[in-house]
Amino acid sequence: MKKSRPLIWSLSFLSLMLASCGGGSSSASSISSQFVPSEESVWSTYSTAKVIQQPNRNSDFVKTGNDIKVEMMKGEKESGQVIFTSKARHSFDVIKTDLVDENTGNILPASAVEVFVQRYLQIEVNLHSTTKLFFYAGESIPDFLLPLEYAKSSGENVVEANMNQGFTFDFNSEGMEAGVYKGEYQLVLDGKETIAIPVEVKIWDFELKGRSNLQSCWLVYSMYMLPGELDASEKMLDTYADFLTDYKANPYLIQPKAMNSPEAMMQDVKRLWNNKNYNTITIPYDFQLDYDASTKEGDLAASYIVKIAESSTEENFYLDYTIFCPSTYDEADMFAPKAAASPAFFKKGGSYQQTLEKAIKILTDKGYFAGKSEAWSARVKSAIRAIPNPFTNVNYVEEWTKNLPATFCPEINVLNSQSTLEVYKDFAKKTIDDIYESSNAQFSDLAKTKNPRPDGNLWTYTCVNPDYPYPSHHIDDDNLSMREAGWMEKSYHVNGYLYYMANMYAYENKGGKFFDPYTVPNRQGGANGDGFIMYPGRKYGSSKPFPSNRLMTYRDGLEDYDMLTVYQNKVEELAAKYGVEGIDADDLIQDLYNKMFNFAVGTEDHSKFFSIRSKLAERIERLNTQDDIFYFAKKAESGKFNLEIYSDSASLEVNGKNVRTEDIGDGRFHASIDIESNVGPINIKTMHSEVNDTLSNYKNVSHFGADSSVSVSEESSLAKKDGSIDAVIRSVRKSTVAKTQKFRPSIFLENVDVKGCSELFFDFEVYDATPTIVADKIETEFTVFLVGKNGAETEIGGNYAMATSQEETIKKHMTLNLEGIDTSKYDGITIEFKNCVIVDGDLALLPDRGIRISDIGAR
Amino acid sequence: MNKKNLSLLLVSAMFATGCGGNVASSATSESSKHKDGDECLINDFETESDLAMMRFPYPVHEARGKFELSDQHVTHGSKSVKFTNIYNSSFEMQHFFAHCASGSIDPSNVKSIEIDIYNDSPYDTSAAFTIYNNVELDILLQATFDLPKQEMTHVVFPLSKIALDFNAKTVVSSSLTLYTPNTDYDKFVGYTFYLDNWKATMGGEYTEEDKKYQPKINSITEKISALPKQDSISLKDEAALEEIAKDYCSLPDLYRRIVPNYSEYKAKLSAFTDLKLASMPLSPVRNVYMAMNEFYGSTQLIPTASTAAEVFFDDSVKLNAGDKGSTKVIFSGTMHSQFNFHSPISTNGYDNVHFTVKNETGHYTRVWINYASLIYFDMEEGETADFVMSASLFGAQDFWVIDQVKAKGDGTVVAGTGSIYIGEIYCTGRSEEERKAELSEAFNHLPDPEALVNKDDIIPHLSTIEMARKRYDESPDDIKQTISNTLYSRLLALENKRDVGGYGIAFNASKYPYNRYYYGENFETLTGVLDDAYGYVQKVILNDPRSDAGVPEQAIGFTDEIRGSYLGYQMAIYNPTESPVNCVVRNTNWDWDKYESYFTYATLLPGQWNVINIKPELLRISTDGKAAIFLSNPEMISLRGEWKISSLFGLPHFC
Repeated sequence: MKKSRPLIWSLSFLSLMLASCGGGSSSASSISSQFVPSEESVWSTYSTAKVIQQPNRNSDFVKTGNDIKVEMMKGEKESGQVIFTSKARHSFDVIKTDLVDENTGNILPASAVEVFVQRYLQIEVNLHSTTKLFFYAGESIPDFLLPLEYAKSSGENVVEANMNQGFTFDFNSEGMEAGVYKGEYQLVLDGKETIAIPVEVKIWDFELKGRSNLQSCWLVYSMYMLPGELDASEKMLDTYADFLTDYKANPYLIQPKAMNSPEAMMQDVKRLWNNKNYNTITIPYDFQLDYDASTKEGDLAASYIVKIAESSTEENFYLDYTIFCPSTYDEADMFAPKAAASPAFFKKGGSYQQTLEKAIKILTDKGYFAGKSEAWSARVKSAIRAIPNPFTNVNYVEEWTKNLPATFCPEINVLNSQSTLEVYKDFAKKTIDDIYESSNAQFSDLAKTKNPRPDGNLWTYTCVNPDYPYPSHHIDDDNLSMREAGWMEKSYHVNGYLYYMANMYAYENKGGKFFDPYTVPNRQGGANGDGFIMYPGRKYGSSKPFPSNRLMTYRDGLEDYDMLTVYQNKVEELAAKYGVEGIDADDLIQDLYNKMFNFAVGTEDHSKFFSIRSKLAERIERLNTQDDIFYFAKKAESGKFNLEIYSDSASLEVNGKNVRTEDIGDGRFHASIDIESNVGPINIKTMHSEVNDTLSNYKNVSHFGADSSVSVSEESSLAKKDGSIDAVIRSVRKSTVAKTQKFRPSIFLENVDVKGCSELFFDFEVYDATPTIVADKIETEFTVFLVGKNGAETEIGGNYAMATSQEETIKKHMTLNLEGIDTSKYDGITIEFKNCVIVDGDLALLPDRGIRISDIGAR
Repeated sequence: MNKKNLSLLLVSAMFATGCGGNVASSATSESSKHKDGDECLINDFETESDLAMMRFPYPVHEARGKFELSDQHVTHGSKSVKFTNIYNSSFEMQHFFAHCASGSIDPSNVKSIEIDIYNDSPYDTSAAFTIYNNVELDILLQATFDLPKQEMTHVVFPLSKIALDFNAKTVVSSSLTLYTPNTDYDKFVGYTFYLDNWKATMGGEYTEEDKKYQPKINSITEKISALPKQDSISLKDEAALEEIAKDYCSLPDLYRRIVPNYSEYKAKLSAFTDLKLASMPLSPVRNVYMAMNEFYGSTQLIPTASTAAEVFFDDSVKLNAGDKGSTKVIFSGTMHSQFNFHSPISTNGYDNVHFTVKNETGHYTRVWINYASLIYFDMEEGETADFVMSASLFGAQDFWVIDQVKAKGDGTVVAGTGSIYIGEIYCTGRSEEERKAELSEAFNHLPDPEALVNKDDIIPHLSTIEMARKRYDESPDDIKQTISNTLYSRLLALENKRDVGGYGIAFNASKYPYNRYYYGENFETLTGVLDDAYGYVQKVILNDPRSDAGVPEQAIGFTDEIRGSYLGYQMAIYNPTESPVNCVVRNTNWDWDKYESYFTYATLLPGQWNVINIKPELLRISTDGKAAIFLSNPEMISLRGEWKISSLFGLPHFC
């Protein structure tokens, strides 16, 4: 099911050559001694770039000028950076000033930006990335962000000669008005020379209302507080929890069991609840492999749920934010005893679900539900039954994914396959639907509660693995990938992220070697940066810890996720207003996703990333008009594409021409125009609003008309209808086992035109086409290829669906990413299906599978 | 209190004013500048930077405390450090000689380590000074001392000059451990200690005892160096190795630890024992070599680098008749513990491995044997248990994992404390007479080849043929002679018929499977029996497993490699119970990435043989103890009875 990773051997070889030229573990100073910059300069680059301390590779980084430009939503934080390249040793300071919006006179005060001095960790070796190295042995990579005031008080506001010194500026738009704020900061060298740094902060006129939809669980270990902070008091642990929450990393404190209690947990929850970033209450109970819900341990686990339920109110419904983190079962697919114990814990009716039911029973026995409305009881009980339990898996474990009603949490690279992703998504939805359906069945129709997470619970995590080209928190990987992870997660309906340790301030095992938590990048042997995302503040006299640029990037990625949620919410709001069905924000934004990443591999182009982010902001702003203009392309009966326009205005102009509108009631109006005559720039004007956009070139690749060239492989059958085909895919036994295994039943489409397109899409519907029931469920899995007359062939994706009865049909929408493919080489599409599997030692042909495909479009 | 009090080392309630006149406090001092008699500050706890120099060698969850600068109980300078114990655990703080307040200190020239400690708690307690020999935190020198309540104690820890000299290149740090008293454990929370003036006095001298043992240590060191290189060690070196072991064991414990190249000796000894093992003739009934707990000054079980437990040979505890003693394992309580055999062991030709374990940990304990193959057994506190298990499980294993899990009661899983004793471990096998009888029996049941007319007639005899071949090949020549040429020719003819037909045995039932859950408790060792339908099969007697845990379930592991490459496999299982039983054959290989797809499910009907088909994908992976038959009864009916399991038949390719 998994799409193969791109091979980058040439890059790999080059990287290794470069690494070997770099002198292995040569020190920072020895590298710098080989390179003297031509002049001192201040220059800027993207916040996602890690500019190493040694200036010998400055030309590798895109220079965006000598200024700071940041774009952000209201109510978020966003960082920018500038680099100072020195020729001599200097002390430095940065003078901030208020920034001013020239149009409104509004001020973004100097206090709304925090300046960090980038501190560098020298890596002895790049521990990962066999295909590509971003950094080489001996290079000093920025990671620790030391607030400027602490750099000054500790005397660390010094840059050595012939070195880079990076500065990170973290802007906060909380409480600010939208606008473009400009001004100038000053870099002061040696207390006298000043260098001006122009600053421009654009605050978009939208923000996320409420808490983020992406939950998280970051494990903070009390055992490392002493090595880092010389203080493992409750106050310090609270400080760490507060600090991580500020960065949207919801904390889960790992401490002696006796230190936990429902009361202490609730006290923390209520404190953290005031922070709007806080959206995950991790119950501090760790299920052991022999956990038995019927014992006192079950009572203890359930008591936490009970406490949260009792504390929940209409306004603060904590239960919807509650999770368990069964970390003893972490990566159970890698460890035999864990694997053996997992099904009994996670299965339907297993000890986990028994725990949830036990909590409900305790509440019932205590009389909690007496006197409460039925709707409230339904809401509380359903929310308890839906408490996620992220189950980390290193690999895709098909048997578990399809059978255990768990919250699966695969490594993010496991999602690098559309088929696998579809299985996770399907079963996450099935699990939550089953929970709410069975829970609601106990209540009257009026009391039935709505599932707050309709897509279900699907989490992901990163750790020692993966690394490039997948997102990671490794110091020696690029930061951009983790920023893009926020987009991937939104696209894949992932609603939780887990990281196993935030504060490894000592070596993981023994502390035999002298250990400096500010300079040692590799703390457990597996990866540089693994296990820590922050730095202790005590040494600098700070009462709270300091971030890394990886933590800041993680936060910014989550805020991008929130921005996508803003877009989704607005689309859903307008679709509901105008009664438009079948519109999915994912589809409307798929082109941006396609440009940014392909499954779990993102673009390495920082400029492209920020350009896409700006485009997203433009789209959100286009949805925020006075007349609530809402428009999108939609396939018409003819197979062509129309532009559907809705607004509150009866008058409508498109590109300066009046368009007749249809009154659909309640002051709402609709128009539908042929899109093909409007490709390119488009201006939509209503009575009070105006929107400018550029329309994509929508194509009907195949309408499956009578003249279309579509066929199927031997013994399969095909019925063409106007606008769709209905194929019965039949497996074939060949003369030898090898030939049978190699054969792929297929649908062939010829004479298709996808030139210049970046996306191919179609709807499909699968059903059980066997004459009699042969199995409980019929799985249909297929792979899609672009093919050319010259024999060229490239896989562009795949999908899967499962019909569980002959009466059932499963409909899905499919989008295939053509970004980066030379589409001019191809004029055909092949959809391949599996032919056989081995059952009981024999080759078994797969049963007949029915598939209906509606006409294929592209843009 | 378990800590040994060395009153010799105590100088109580002395104040630093009397000995601090020549303290070197410059952070820029070089170790070479420190002269005899200088007092070099390791940490004076004057600033936050001073506090930041402390390190903590064993971070554990329980280590909860807080360090703050204080104006109270100052004995040098203007500040002390106040340590507040937040959670009930011992604390160890470490200082590297290379990172001291006085700069880098040369540890080989340190005469003594000193510190002032005020115990502000209402309890008498104790502390320890430790000198670590290397980054693996091997202890070179250690002493404990009392900390009377509400008193300032000035502690002087005189260091052995000879120990430091011999290990000058590896000594890295000194550490101070503050113990909580083992009475009123829970009450010892929230109390404080004040520390100040942690310093080293330079210029150590040899004691008379040092001088006495120095020549012997030199001699041992030279003898170790004189041994051939590790890869050149031969059996001829046995005498030299023994002599070194004898010399080494004659040293007092302190002087043993300072032999600087003892690790080199251990490596060479390990190479030698490999050779010795290979050269020793194996007794047909008992592997004597394997039963040795100790040889050449080293226990046969040794902790791995990541294990925080100590292992000793204890001649006072004899668990089996004839034991000279036992291996005593003391767990530190900080992490789970794993042990290797000193040298890889051999169980070839043996049937069973025997051992006895005594649990004196003070709590319920789970002991794992080979973590990957899911074998463990549980022991109550104070229990002494004998275990017998299949030798085949040890065939390729050169390690044990002993993982203490306190799993009952409150369900907490913790690394263990206390001790267990492991008696001699030895193999046993069948006698010559038994082997002869078994070989004859196997051949006597071979069918007449001429009677097998049809191609499939051979199927019921496959395991009988296999068994005859296996026993013949495994037998020494003198036992092989028991078989007449006629009988042997019959075997060859049958094998030819089998091969022509394309059938084969992928796995035979002659090895000992194991019970994943309750080895030796609800599961009797297997015996081979002849069955009319399936030839040699294994008889498995299940008692009443997991009666307290809901659905009865058992797992019986494959312990042999699957041989051959077949398109499919079959095996037969006789279900002796009175109800259908679920049967899943699944791979439990360490390589879990195929786990999700490869399994076979069948329902075993009661009171009859059930043939199950097994996917080739399942068996493509090595099944060295990693694939298993899982039996369960969802109706909650017991699995009690005499089960029979056939060989695994390889089905022929059909194309």
